[in-house]
Amino acid sequence: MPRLEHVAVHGRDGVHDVELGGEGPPIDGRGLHLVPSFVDLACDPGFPGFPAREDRLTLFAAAVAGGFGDLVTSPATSPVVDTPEHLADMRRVAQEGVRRWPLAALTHGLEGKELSELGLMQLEGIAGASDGGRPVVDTVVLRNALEYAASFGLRLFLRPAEPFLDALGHVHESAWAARLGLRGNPAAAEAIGVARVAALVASTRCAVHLQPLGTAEGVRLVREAQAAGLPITAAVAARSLLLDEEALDDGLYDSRLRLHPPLRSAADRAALVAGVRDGTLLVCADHQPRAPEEKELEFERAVPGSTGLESAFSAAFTALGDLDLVVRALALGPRELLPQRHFGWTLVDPRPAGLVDPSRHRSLARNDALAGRLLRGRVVGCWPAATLDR
Amino acid sequence: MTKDLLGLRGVPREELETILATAEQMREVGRRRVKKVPPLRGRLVVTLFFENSTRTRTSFELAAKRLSADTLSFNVATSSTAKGETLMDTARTIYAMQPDAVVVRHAYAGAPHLLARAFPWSVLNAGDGINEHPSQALLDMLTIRDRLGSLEGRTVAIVGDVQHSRVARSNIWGLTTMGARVVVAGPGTMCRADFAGLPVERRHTIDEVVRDADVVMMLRIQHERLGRAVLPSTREYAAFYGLDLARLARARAGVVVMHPGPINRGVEIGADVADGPQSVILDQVTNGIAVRMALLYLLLGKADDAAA
Repeated sequence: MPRLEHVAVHGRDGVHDVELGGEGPPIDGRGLHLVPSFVDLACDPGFPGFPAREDRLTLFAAAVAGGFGDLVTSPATSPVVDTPEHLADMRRVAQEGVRRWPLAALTHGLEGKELSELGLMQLEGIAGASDGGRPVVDTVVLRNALEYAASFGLRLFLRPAEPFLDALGHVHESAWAARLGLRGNPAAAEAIGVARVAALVASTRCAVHLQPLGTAEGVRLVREAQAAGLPITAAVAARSLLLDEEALDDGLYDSRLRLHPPLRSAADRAALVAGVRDGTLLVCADHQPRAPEEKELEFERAVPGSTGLESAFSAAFTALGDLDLVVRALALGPRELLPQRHFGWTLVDPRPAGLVDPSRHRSLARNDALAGRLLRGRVVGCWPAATLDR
Repeated sequence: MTKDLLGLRGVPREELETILATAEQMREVGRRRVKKVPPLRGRLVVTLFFENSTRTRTSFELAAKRLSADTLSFNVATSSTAKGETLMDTARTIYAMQPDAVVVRHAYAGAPHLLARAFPWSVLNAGDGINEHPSQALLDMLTIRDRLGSLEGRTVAIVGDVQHSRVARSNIWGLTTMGARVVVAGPGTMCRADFAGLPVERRHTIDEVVRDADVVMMLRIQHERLGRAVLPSTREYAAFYGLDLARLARARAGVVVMHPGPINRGVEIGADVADGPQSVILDQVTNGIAVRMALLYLLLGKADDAAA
């Protein structure tokens, strides 16, 4: 990395000239901010198994372009990450200094039936175990998983949803869905999901991270659980701080907005923003690359998901308007959930406004739900392996 | 009119008036001995149906033929998508045959919108998921106008599975744009609170809505669209939401009874009501052809007049 001159450095007063090693001409850092690199707590890596979504080069390039130095990756790949052998392969593929923190599948094949070898997989360096976005249907299995993981001090990353209600509909169930003639997914699915996990955490004391949150009631229940001293954290996707169901009302049935869980109401969105402000929620990129042929489909048939790495910072900064808060929610807070606290540095410029243009993204996928939106703030560079000389 | 007819939501009143007025003119063609006029000669209208349908598809095809267009019928429910072809690939193939208009029915909302964005052809929505079925609503509106003179200020009751009915949605948008009041009724699983997002009043019993209605529109129980535990039995449904003579007797004199068909006799509508003097079910079918002629003419034929 080149020398940076007159740059504001997170956690220090004034401006500084900093040197992180590497080549290149000096950068005029006036107006720029050097902040701890971001952590995506919810990254669907797309590989192995989905070559048209993402590969190791495009994923890590997208991470760097978005300012992310650490990715917590979903086990819902093909094959599913449910044995220590899968993890041994995975640890060799990090690129450009980006650290990949795999999540292990909580159950074999993510089927929600038999526990996978969580102890052995923990030895391979995982950030935790996860249901990969498929909520465990059987509550007895879920309770056993929490009890078992607690005995290893392992954190579970769970999607809070009541599985049967969660299977309903393709957009938030509301007056908007009724107007669009789309089948709705009720907000109660999330409330029941959060309450179910919280009730089990109360007895098992297993550390749990819930994501992505989408509803006001979900945020309220998480806040309540945290106030009661339960070891529960939660994150919201950056895009959900800006977009709500009203984005769908252009009558275009744009499959880029086909997300699961769906974009909720404007009131839910306001509660999510408030949840980040008061520290209840962290922010994740919730990166979900999809191939064009998975999105060039009828809205209800399109594969849900949106990329996020390359728009998350701008989305969070636009919604929150406070760089320190964004750094806390996207870098410092999430880092506390990782086994290792090392971080790199990301250079951001809070001044420019620009349109999200997926055709210019480094990700192989083009399905950013924020496409065409005007967002504030830009990532100038990211050096995930760098350390600041002090 | 614009390039396509994707739904009635947001379509202005003047445009609806134009369609209905044109349909009235088209109806005259059906009364002739030679039921054919030339405005769409040499044009190709494709019907692309991803769900089984006989009435709507034949109605569109007959409408196209009466305007001298060529027609081509793709029944994809039983062909390509069964082999795994995507909607867009099917569309590319059909577009390569150079049609001027494509009439689409599809199980998912927004599918016609996707086709309309993809190619410069005219797309007519013949039913997309639970979203809209605009030509059905237009023929319903024409039928009501025939009987009652106008739609302004009329009260239309829609009874049944409103939640999963594209016929109901299109009627709600179209009728309210034309100044009518729409009241809906059905069991809670078929008429949920989120319907408050549409310009309707919601009641739970059929008697509440039939009492002061000028029109009662009965919806078909669509067994294929029901989820689990939506309805205990058709017997119970008939008992609480079926329109029989006793219920109809409590309605205003001259009330008009409609049904988009095909009817389940003895379930949502009693046989004596369906065949009775209040029923306009067969007029709906005849008007369907006229409305679809009007739509094809306005979308395809008018452009030619302007160019000529």
